Amino acid sequence: MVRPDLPDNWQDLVAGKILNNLSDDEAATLDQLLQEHPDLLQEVDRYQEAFASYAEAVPLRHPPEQLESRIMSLAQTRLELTKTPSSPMLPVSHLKRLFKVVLGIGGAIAAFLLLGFGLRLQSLSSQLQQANNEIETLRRELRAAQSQAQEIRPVLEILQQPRTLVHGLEGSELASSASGSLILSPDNNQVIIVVHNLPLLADGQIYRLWAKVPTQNTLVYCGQFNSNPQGLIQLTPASDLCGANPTQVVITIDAVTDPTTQGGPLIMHSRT
Amino acid sequence: MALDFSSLEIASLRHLSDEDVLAALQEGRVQALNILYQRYAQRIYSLSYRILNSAEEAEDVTQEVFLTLVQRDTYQRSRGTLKAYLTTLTRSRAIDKLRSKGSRDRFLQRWQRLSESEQETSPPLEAIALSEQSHRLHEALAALSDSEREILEIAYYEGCSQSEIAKRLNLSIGTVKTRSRQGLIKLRQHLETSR
Repeated sequence: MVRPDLPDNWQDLVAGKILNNLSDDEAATLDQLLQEHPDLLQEVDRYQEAFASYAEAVPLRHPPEQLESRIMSLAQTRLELTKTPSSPMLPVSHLKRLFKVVLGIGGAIAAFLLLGFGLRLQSLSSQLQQANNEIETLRRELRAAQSQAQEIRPVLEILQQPRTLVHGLEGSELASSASGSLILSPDNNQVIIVVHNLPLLADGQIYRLWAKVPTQNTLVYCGQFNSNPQGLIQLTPASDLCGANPTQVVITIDAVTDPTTQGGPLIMHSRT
Repeated sequence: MALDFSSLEIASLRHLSDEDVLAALQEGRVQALNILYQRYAQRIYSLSYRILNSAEEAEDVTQEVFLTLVQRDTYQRSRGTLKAYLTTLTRSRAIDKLRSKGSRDRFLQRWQRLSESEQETSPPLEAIALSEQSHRLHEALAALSDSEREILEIAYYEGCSQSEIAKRLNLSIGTVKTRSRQGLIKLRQHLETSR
């Protein structure tokens, strides 16, 4: 971003602030700039967001099933502790007197009642445990069903579009067991790839999608993606040409750092 | 079958904003934590796991972060979204844990073992969500040089200072400073232009 009102190195200073590697002189210069140009604080926030985007780049993992119930139980305890005022302390003499009264008058009755309550409590506790287990099982099943529905929804939405194109995909020699389909929707500019047996990528590699379009002499770059266990990939084409009735689509494997001017080894292609 | 009270409570909270759900939690409605857990547990756990490379420790951090929300006045709306706050808190707690072990070397060894075992067998990774947003992010990260990316990853995921990074990568501090800033500027610009 060009800011003629700021020194040439203003972005360097802002980046250094986020990375916490400003020298004392640089920090003083940036402080001065921020005082003179308070709007620059928004740019500091944007740089902070860019750095924090590394949190979005991590592969997603599901936490263990029991973690949620453990956290909920601890949270419940903490909330109850904060709500319940501490009991006033009785003087020791009162406690002794109370103890003697209980022992003298109702000891036997209390013991009998306690035994009854204990048995009843044990029974209720067992029933509660059983009910909780059933609830947990239902919750797991519901979450799994919701997750599946969520994954399938974009496919259904695209298939409902009038101009949607479907290409059958088959693996090349490098991925002979791979198969699948590519669904292309020019109406909402989306591509969905459903694949089976697509090889997992090594570090630093990426799959790239290309389209053969009648009006172009070379393949058109349409985007890149990683493989995933679900075999369901959704992406927005990098070029509008990808939706212009391609006669064939191909998938190549490339290094992440390769330019997108030409593809690497062929992995899958549509049937012509 | 009749719905129980907690199911109704959760259903009533589900459509509220993060801030309103958090307010409900701090009023003592513990079911609000269920909602926040469903929204953010996977992200918090995944980031913790990426930093610590340990399922057990990632669970601990996830638990700490959610229990922090139960306390009052831990999050200030004026300082950003709840998602940004949780991300910052998670990274901070996980890096603290990493440092408290004093085991950067051990971390590296475990990381190498993990990498090797993941190459040998099917990785236990869940899918990387290939949403449009993550697609843009991966393209932006792909625009960085290998060295810029490596330095920024160490800075973010391990919280190392530039002198620690310089020592580990056998580079001068000046080179680390220059490449980390250039990398962040590129990342910022790519994310801006792809918005």
